[in-house]
Amino acid sequence: MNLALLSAPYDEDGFRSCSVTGLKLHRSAERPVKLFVITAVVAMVLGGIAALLVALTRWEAVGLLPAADFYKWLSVHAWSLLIFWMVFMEIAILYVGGPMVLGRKLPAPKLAWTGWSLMVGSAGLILYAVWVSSPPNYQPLLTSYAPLESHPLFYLGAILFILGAVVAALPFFTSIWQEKVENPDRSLPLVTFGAFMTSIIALEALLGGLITYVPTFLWRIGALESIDASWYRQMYWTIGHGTQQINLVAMITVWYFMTYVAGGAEVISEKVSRSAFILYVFFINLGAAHHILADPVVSSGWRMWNCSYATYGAVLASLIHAFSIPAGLEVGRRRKGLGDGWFGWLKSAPWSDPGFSATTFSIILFGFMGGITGVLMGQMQLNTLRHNTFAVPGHFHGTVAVGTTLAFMGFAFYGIKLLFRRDWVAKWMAKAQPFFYAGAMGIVVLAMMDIGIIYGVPRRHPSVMDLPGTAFDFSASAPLFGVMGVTAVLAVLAGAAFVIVAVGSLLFGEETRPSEMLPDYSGLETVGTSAHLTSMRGTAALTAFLLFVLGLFYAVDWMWLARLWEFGA
Amino acid sequence: MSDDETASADDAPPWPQQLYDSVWLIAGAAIVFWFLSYVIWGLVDILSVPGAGG
Amino acid sequence: MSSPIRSPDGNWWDNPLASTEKKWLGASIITAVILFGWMFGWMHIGDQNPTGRTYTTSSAQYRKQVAAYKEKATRTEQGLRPAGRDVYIAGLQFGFDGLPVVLEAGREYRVHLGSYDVQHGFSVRDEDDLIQQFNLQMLPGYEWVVPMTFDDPGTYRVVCNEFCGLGHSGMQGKFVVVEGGS
Repeated sequence: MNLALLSAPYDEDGFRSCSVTGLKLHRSAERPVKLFVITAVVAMVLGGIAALLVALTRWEAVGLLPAADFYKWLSVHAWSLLIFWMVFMEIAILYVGGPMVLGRKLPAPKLAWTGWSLMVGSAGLILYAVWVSSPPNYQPLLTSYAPLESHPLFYLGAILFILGAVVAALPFFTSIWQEKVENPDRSLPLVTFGAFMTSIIALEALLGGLITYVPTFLWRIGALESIDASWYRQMYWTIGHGTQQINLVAMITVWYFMTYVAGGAEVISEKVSRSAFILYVFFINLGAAHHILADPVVSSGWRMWNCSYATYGAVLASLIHAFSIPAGLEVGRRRKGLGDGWFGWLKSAPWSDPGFSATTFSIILFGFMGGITGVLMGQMQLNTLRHNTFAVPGHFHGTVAVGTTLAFMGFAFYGIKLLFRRDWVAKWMAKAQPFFYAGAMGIVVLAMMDIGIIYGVPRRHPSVMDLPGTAFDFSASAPLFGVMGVTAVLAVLAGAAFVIVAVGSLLFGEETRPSEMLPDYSGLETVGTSAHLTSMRGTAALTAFLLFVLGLFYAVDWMWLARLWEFGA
Repeated sequence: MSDDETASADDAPPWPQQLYDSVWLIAGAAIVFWFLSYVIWGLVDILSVPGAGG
Repeated sequence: MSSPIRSPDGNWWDNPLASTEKKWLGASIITAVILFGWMFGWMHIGDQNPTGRTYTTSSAQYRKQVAAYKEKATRTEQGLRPAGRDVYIAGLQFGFDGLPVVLEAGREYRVHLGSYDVQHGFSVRDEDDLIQQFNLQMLPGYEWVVPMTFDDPGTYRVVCNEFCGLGHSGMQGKFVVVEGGS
């Protein structure tokens, strides 16, 4: 057994050189990255167990948990995956995108350890509060909507987690500051630029979280008389959706990195990709308004301005990356002689490399499933068709559980080889895992969407097949719940496969030199013309198809809305 | 940094590139914009709700 | 070759764009404008908008309003028949005060939505055609008046779809919509 955490290939200054990426890496950055990634995976395991229990309850043929336990495990599931799995991973991505890509030491490493400790301790506090909650404390789920009270320690835990994340992010900000001071005339690498914009989006989300949880905590302990439900919703969603926007931008940053390392991609236009990141940093957090489109109080002007990301600034950014990333892969591979015809560049790609396949499935499924449903539900009027139905979890499982999770899994697969310098064990499992997970989880998402759209089944219910006090029920949706239940179990198994490979490789993987194991594109000669003259027709076909599907569902949704009875001033 | 490459007429990059490189300026402007557009405007809406309706 | 993990050299601003990329940018901008413009347009030409006047209120005050409304309404076997065009509904743990209510098809009502305690969901569907459904939020402290017209007679089932406590799954009610003409 080799303990990957303990090996030390560093020179006397603490640096080593990565033979795959060519990066100069300092141990003060690598060590916390390893810790944050491992912690993220532990959170993912807890969330996955909770996923199993929740899915087997809503699949009422099994109907595992009674209501009180269902809400408890739903809260564990939500916090472990949407918050802990994501945020621990994102701190790691900041350290990689910042100091590691820049070849710098991590400034103030004690802050990294302090931040981590605070995050872990407060995560424990939150889970403890969920575990012991009983009336008058209600389960927070993810949103802990005031004035439904949750355990005081829950709000305190949330506040401390936010502070911990801010502390952990400080070394990243400092490294960017130092880089700009030392090299004022140099542009940051694209990945670092993306990581920086991610961190600003995170800062807004965390600030919004403090504005939400501090007064709510004070109200819960009686120091404040009341808390306004509308203000709570408005400010809660700055962190509620803001943390998901962090996921999005971090995931896109990872896509640029992984398509480059695993697929041989190039950056086709620094200007266009950076413009998209700037659009994100200005507009993406306005999208928190999506959650209060079917609400009273906030004006339709506020809603339409913010839910449109101020005229769709952020959707424009997403469409830009949706083109630039596959185009970068296409151009990069064509220029290395790895692609002819329309899709040769994609067919010749290393599909048996889980880093590549996970990344590619993430891109495709995020776009088609998560992205399209998000754009549609984010239209103020269409939202009334979907608000609080099962279509909402369908959407965010498409974005987070399929898109971001696959991207982070691929990143972690590579981290095992590049950071921990261990070969994968059970290679057949590693190769198959992204296919298995993408397939199973993808079907879960489709089932959830259909349950919400076709049957209007409500979310946050432990059972809808037998409603007390009425003969009416949603039993027509039972077959779809069966599909969802079975594929959810498979998806959890696929997640377990990832953990088995990851943990197994760290403990039992052979120490090896990455240059022997990863695709080496540096040795290939450039053929053909410059990037902007190289064909991008494969990408053009794929993105045109994306727009077509978006347009189709857009038209269908508005037609369905028009058929509904009339409402509204 | 090699600033002695052949025929580089402009040593300084064009101003839009310099703007894109001013990451702290971008960050500050973005935070202010979000705060006004989302937080403050929403607060104004809440404070403008009249009392006791029909 | 431009790498995402290296600082790009020199003047990258003036690097030329591929024509395919430029066309995509154009298509994306048009898409963004359509997405934005259509919402605005629908406010004027569409019959389904989640809009209506909001008023601040309190639990006690709203209870009084609902009670006064029920006083003036006629009790029938199928539910309450409103005296006028105002319909009052309140979410509470765990039911809908004011439901069941009997409405006339094709007639516009002012539906008042509020809550006596915590946040609730107001999720309405045609029981014979589940895909026809919509969802609004009910907040304590606010009264939201949303005009509504049900075109087709039938039974419309209401469930709460916001977690409001352990009795949440029993929180349901209905609208009975009958032919107009009384």
